[in-house]
Amino acid sequence: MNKIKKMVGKDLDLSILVGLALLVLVTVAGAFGGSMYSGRNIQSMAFQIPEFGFLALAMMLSNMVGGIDLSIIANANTVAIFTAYVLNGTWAFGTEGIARVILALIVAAVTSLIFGAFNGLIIAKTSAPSLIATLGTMTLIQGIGMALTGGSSIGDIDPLFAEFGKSVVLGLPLIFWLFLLVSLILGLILSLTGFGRKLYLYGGNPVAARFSAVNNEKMSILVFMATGFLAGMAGLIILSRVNSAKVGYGDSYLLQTMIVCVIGGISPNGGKGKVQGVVIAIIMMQVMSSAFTIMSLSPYTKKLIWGIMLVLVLGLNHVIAAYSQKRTLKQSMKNLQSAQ
Amino acid sequence: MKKKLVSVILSVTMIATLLVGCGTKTADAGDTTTTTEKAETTEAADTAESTENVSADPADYKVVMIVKQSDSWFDDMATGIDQLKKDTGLNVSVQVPETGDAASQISIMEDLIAQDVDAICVVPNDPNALVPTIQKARDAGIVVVTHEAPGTADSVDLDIEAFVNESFGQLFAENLAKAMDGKGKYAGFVGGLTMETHMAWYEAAVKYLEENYPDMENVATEPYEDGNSVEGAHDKALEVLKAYPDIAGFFDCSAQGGGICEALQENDLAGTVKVVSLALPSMSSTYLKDGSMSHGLCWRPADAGYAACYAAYLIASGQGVETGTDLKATGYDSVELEGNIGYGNAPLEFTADNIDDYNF
Repeated sequence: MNKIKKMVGKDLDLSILVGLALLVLVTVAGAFGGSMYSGRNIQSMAFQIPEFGFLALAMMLSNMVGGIDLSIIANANTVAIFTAYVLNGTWAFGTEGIARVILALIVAAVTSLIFGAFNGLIIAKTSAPSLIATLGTMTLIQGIGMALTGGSSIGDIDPLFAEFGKSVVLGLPLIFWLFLLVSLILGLILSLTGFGRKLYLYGGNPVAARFSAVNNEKMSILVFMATGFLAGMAGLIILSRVNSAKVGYGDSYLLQTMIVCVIGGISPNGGKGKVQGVVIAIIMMQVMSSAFTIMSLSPYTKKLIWGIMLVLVLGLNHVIAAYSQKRTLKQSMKNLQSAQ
Repeated sequence: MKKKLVSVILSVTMIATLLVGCGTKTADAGDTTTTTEKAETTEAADTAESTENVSADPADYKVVMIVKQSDSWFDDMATGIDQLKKDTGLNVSVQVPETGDAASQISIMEDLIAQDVDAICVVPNDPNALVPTIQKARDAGIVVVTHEAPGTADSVDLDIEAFVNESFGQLFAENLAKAMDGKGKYAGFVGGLTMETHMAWYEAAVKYLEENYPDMENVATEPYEDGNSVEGAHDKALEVLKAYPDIAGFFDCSAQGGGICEALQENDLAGTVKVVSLALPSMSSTYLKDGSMSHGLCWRPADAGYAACYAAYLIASGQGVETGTDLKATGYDSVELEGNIGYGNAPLEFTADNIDDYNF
């Protein structure tokens, strides 16, 4: 009991999120029983999570530094388009088979990092709010994709690559394992490395960060490069799942990634939140969305429920913040008393 | 310290009750038939297993239609599907994605595959993007029927189209010729030269007029592009009027004929110069009523949805669809099968008199 109490006390936000997630899982299980947690349905949900999950992780990083990256979807699609051009042989430069896939991966990594760095540079050098800067780059990146494709979808890609989106390892899709792995690495980087600590500091209070010898410009560029890279990975997963790339695929994800971040305990003002929170929120959202499909809810009802969730979580966050402030105050008073 | 723990637990339970409350409420608001539907599904699944799919009772089959998005066109399609449910007792429902995005259609489809429905009908936003998921559904033994996706017909069990494009084009020509009394200059519009269906209609119409109405003359060898916008149609129509003052008729293969009518009204030519256009009641009723558009052509989404879902049931129950099969919907009483595409003969003609009967 004491242990649980300690854990809850240590990270109230996360504990409440876990409680919420468990509640959703149990409620859904009660309502739909076997059809929701059959091996097939779990696998199908695991197939759906990664492409959205990577986008949510990208959004999370930009939120953690108090910013926002609106260009993630455009980035993912345009990276997918570049990669598709390599994979269908248009830009293959004579490579075949596995060499072509490797070339495609390199192209994807490079383009996504360039897009991300471009975002970071604009934000760092001009001090433009990231909302405005990424709104601009979103349109720009979308425009590049549009100019290349004329709006039609680019398909006919190497079947070797399509296999990647379909294959199943140990009962779960390969892309889901990849998502878990990347989340784990990201979580470790944020909590254990110097870069992570600087990121939280920069996100929470850029002025204090600057006075603590953190290179804010460099941080901003690095964070947005990482954001771009994650978005690019989402693009690769989209490409492998739908076998084609097109401008405008998944536009509806943008708002949902923001909702997931808030529910996952990421403060939009920066400097707060954990990767595991976002991962739990992503899984919870997927379970709910699958449940909505089983219930065949109308789109209005779905939007209503997402809205209620968001408002509820925001309200809860406010209450928790007030509570923890009070607790810290009490604690320090106590310390003061015992010191006297 | 204990007090805090108690308060935390209390608040969590409170949220729990709140959420549970929301859940049941929304389920009620969403669809009152959810629970009965669920009962039917399990029942259907049971019987399907025990009789190994030889039963042909429509109530044993679960068919789901995934539309593109929520708008008046697909609302009308949903009414057709409701009608099918009433007529045959088929366990059919409609899934409406939150946005018109291939991603939402794919995720709905993934969920349905896991739910082991018997057939999925889909009006794809982006047919190519859906192909891998369609493949997955068919690998799982689910029948997939598409509508408005002849390009990917090879990957599905059946694609239902409202009509053969050529005969629809001829209908444009026939209506225009009738309106123009079979003589005079005319111009044809399409949304864009790359739009396959528009071009097919245009070419069929022009060919038909050449053969049957020698007194009618096409002013250009290529169609004009209205860019699928009312403004585009309006501006192009003004250009044509300037270049050919003696023009007597227009036909527009995209649903933007209203733009042409506007241009004619500005030049006091409305009614004198005839317009036949692809038309949606919501966009064209004013022009049909004030006489500036003489005919509107379309097809009925309700009937297309009805036919697609009924075809899906026929295939899932092993009865199959072949040339001449009656899909029970107006215009689809004898489908024409070409490869994997089933053509109905269901063009819909609007005039000022019947336009108010439709609301999509």
